[in-house]
Amino acid sequence: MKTPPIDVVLRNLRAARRRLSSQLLLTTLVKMGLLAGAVLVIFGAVNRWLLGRMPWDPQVAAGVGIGAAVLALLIMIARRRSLPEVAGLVDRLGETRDRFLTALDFSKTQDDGPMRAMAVEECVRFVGAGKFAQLIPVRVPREAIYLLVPIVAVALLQWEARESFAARQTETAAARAAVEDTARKLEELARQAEKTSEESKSDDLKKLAEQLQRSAEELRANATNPEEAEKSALREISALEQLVQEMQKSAPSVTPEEMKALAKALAENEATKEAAAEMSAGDLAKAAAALEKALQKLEENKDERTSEEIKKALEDAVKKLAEQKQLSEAMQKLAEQMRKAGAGKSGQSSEAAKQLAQMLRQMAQGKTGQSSDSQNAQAMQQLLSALQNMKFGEGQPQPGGQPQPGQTPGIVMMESFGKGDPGAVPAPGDPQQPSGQPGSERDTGTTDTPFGKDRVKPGENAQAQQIAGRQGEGQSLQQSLTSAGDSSKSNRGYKDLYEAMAPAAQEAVLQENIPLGSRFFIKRYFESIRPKE
Amino acid sequence: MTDSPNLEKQTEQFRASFTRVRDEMMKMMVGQKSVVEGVLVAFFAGGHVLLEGVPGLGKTMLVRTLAEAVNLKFSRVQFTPDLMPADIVGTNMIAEDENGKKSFQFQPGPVFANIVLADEINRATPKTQSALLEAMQEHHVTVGGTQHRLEQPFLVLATQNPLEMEGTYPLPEAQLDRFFFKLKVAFPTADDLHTILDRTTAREHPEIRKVLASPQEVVELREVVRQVPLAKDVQTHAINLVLATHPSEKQASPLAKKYVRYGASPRGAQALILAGKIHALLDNRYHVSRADIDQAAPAALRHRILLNFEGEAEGTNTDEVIAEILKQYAG
Repeated sequence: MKTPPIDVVLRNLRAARRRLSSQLLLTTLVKMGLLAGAVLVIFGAVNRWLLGRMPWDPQVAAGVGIGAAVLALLIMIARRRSLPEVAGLVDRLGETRDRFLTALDFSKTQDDGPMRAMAVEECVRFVGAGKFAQLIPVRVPREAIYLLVPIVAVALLQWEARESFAARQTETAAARAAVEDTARKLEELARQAEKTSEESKSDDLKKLAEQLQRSAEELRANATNPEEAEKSALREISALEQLVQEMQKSAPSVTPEEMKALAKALAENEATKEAAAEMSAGDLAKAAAALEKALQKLEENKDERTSEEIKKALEDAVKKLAEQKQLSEAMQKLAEQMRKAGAGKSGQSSEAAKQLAQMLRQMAQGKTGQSSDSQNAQAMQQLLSALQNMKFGEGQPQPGGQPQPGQTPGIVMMESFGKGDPGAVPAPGDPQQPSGQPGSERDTGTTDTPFGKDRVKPGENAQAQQIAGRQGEGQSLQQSLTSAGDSSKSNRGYKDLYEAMAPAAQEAVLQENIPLGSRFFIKRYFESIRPKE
Repeated sequence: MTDSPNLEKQTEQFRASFTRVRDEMMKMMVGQKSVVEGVLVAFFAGGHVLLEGVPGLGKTMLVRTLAEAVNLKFSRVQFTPDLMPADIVGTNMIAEDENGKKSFQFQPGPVFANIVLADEINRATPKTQSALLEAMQEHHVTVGGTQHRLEQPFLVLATQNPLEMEGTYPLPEAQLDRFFFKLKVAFPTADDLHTILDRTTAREHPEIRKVLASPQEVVELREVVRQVPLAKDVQTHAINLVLATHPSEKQASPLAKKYVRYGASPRGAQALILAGKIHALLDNRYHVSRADIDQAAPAALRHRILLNFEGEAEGTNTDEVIAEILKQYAG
C-alpha cells in the first residue's frame, strides 16, 4: 500500500523552519550589531583621539553595517536546520507524539506495510487540524536592548567630534580673519616691492618681495588660533622689519671731516690731486674715477714710490683723525684694509688707494649716483614704515606708494606711539633703550658730541620689548615722512612739524602730573625726536 | 496480508479488548491500575511478568482475574524450598491400562497452563527455578527425553516477597532478564483500602466477565500489536536508553557510570519496543512515539540493570538510574 502524501506535514515543517531561520537571523543580527557597534566605537575613538580625525565617514559606517548584516545572513544560512531537526523540535513543542518525525520518516521509505500508511494518514490528519508552525516564536531577542549602548556611544562620539571640529574650524576661520588683513597688506607690499625691483633691477627688493609673499602665505597657513595668529603676525612683521633694516644698511659712509682729511691727504700728491678736488667738490663718483685712473697710471708706470707716498699720506690722515675722535665705521674699515695691505707683500702700496676708491664709489651709489639705487632705498624705507605701521596697528600703508588725497607726495604716515586704548597701562621699558622713533637711537639730545653717548649694548640675554604708550585725548598732528634714517638728511617737513608741535607738547607735559621717576624718560623721548641741526 | 479497513478494525478490536479486560480486572484490583495495565501490556506483548510486593496485596487475585477475563487456563505454583522441578513441569508416571499393561504416562505439571502464577519464585531452589525458566523461554519442557510443547498463549507471572529474603534463592541476573516487565505492587492507600474492604467483606462479589473468546484471539491480537510501525528515530531513542544503562558506553548517564555494574540487554530494547507499540495502539495511533518508549522504560529496565557494590551500599535503586536516563533523553 503506497504511503500517502505528506504535503501538509511538509508545509508545516517548512513554515516552522522559516520561522526558526527568522528567529536565528534576528538573534544573529543583534549579535553582529553589537560586534559592529563595538568595532565602530573603537575605530572612531582611535580616529578621534589618537589620529585627530573625524571618527568615521559615512562609507566606513555603512560598510561596517552592511558587513554585519551580510555576516548574519551567512550564519543563518549555515546554521539552517534540516526538516527532521525541525520535525523533532515541533514534535517536542507541540507534544504531537512524534507525528511529524514519523510522517517524514515513513514518507521516505517505500514500505508497503498497511499500518504504515494508516500511521501516515493519521499523522497528516492530526497535523492538518492544527497550526504547529506558530509554536516557533519569532520575536526580537532580549539582547537587542544592549544595542542602545553602541548606538548611543557612536552618536555621542560623532556629536562630540562634530562640535570639536566645528569649534576648531571657527577658531581657524577667526585666526585667518585676524591675519587676513595683515597677509593682504603683506601681499600688497610684496607687489609694490616686486614692481619696484623690476624697475630698479634690484635683487634685494626682489628677494624682499618674495619674502613678503612667503610671509603672507605662511601667516594664512599657520593661522589656527586667533591669539596665536595675532602674535605670529607681529612676529612675522618684526622679522620682516629686521630684514629690511639689515638690507637698508648701505655702504659705510665717512663723515664730512673725514672726507676733508682724506681729500687733503690726496691733494698732497700730484697724481691724486684731481681726485682730491672732486672729493672736496662732493662728487664722489668722479673722485673715485679719478683716483682709479691715477692708480692705473701709477701701475702702468710701475711708480711704487708715488703709490707709497699716497698710502702714507692716507695713513697719516687716518691716524690724525683717530687721535682726535672716534672714526666712523667706514674709516675704520678703510684703516683695517690699509693695515692688511701694508702687511702684505711689497708692491701693494696702491691697495690702500684702491680701497679708498671702492669706498667712494659705494658711497656715491648710496647717495645720489644712480636713480635705481635711490629708488631702492626709498622703496625700502616705505616698506619699513609700512611694516612699522602694521606692527603698531595704526595707519595704513599706502597702496603702491601713492599718497592719499591731500597729502604731500612721497610722504608716508607716521606711526603713532600708542595703542589707542585709554585703559592700557604702559609697560615699563628698559632705561638703557630709549624709546621712540624716528631719530637716532644714540642721540639723547643732551650730549656734547653729535655722536651721542656710548651706546650701552644690551646683554646677550636681553629681549626686545615693545613699550605700549597711551594716546591722550588732546589733538594730534601726524605727518608721514619718506625718509627717516640715521644717515639721511632731515626732511624739512619734519622740522616744521616738530617746531609746530613742540610748544604744545611741552605745555601738555607741564600740565600733567608726571611722577618724578618718569620725567627722565619723557624728556629723553622728546629729545630723541628732536630733529638734528 | 490484511487490508487497511480490516486492520483498522483489528486495532479497534485490540483497543476494546484491552480496555475491557482492564476494566474487568479493575473490578477486583483496587488502586493498582498501573500494575494491571503493565500485566496486560506484557500479556499482549507475549512476555512474562515479575511482580514484587509484600504479601496480601492481591497479586494472586490479579493473575486469577486476568485468567478469568481472558478466558485462559490458569495454574498456580507455590514455590517452596523443597519444590522439585518435576512438581512444575510434570513427570512420567506408571500407568496400567485395562489390560493390565503397565507403561509410563506423562503427567503434565502446573506449567501446562496458559497463565501460570509462580508464587514466591525466589523460595525455590535454583534447579526448580531453572525448570520454570526453561519453560518460559523455550515454551516447551523436556521430561524423560521427551519434549512437550506448552500451549499458547503462555504467560508466567512470578512473584517475589521483598521482606523475607532469608533462606531464599534470588533469581540470577540471566534469569531475571527473561521477564518482560518487573512491576512493583505498592501498598494501597487509605481510600483504596476502604474500597478493598467494601468489596471483599460485603456480601456481593464482583463477577468477572470473559472478554476474549479463545486463546486464538489472544494470538491474533498479539499479531496486530507487532504490525505497528515505528520511525527510525524512535527506535534510536529506545537503543539510546538501553545503551545509557551501560557504564562503559558514551551515552551512559552519570549515575549509571557511578553505580551500575552491568546494563540492560537487547531483551530490554525488545521490551521497550513491544510495549511502546501497545501504548501507541491504546493512544489511537498507528505509530510508536518516544513517549510510548519512555512510558515502558521503568518496568522494562529496572530488573535488567545490575548495581555495583557502591550502588548497593549507597542504597541506590535502579529506578533512580532509569529516571536520570529518561531526563537526559527527554530532549
